[in-house]
Amino acid sequence: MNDIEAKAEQGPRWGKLALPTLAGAVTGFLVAIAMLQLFRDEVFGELSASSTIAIAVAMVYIFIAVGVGVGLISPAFGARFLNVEDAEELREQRQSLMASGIGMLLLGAALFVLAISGPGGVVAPETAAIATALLVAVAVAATIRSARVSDELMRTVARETGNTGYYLIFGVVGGWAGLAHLQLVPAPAMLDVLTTIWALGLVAAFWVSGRRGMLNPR
Amino acid sequence: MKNRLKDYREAKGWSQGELARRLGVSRQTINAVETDKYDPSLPLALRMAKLFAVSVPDLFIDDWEPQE
Repeated sequence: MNDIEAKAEQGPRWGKLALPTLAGAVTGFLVAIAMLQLFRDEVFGELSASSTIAIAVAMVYIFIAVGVGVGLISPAFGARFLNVEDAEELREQRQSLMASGIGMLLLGAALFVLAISGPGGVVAPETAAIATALLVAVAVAATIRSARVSDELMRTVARETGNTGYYLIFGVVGGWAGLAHLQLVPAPAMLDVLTTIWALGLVAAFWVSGRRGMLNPR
Repeated sequence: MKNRLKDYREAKGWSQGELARRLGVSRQTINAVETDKYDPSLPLALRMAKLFAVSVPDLFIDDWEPQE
């Protein structure tokens, strides 16, 4: 058996990483929820369940962006927790990672602003609308910048993430809306729809990255 | 698609980073191709073949045969 045949017989390895990745995402989500329980009364007042979950999802985006940012500021330290071969790889991908990190940060911030606005929120609706529009616009610009300085693998991953995200949103949000229309389940709040879209975007990104072997230990 | 990129790269004594630098792509791309997780575009496959002075079918293995 040659190397290639042996490699093919090993099958997909990314299943080995599914549990740690899932555990990391769930842990981050639970930590965000716990922090909200501790601080929400002092800072945000009374938060609905929809707002609490939206903030938790926003925090996952922000945590990921902060992790990338720390890795770019200190590549030697970042190489310990980001899935790269060494610090030099972080330096090589600095432009692309910085742009996508900024995009993640701003998208997380946009969902955060929406979560603390609306009925009973601490930010006025008009202010929140303008802030969200600006944050999303700059996030889109950062994402376009990231795509321009990325190589073909990253552009393929971004394209596949868009495709996968579309079908996930179509299935989950569409399914929820359809069942709610039939009055078989409660109708989602608009913030729940947004949170679901944001969350499914992350799921799609991890799913595609895993399929492309980018979550495998280097 | 199965390929012999790693074999050719190691025969040259190059690291993934060195090959990535010569091809103008990221190390992740080289890693993904070597582990059969990503099939490169035709221009990149041609560049790889040119770099190792082999043909694309020498580098990438496809079992497909034309039908009579």
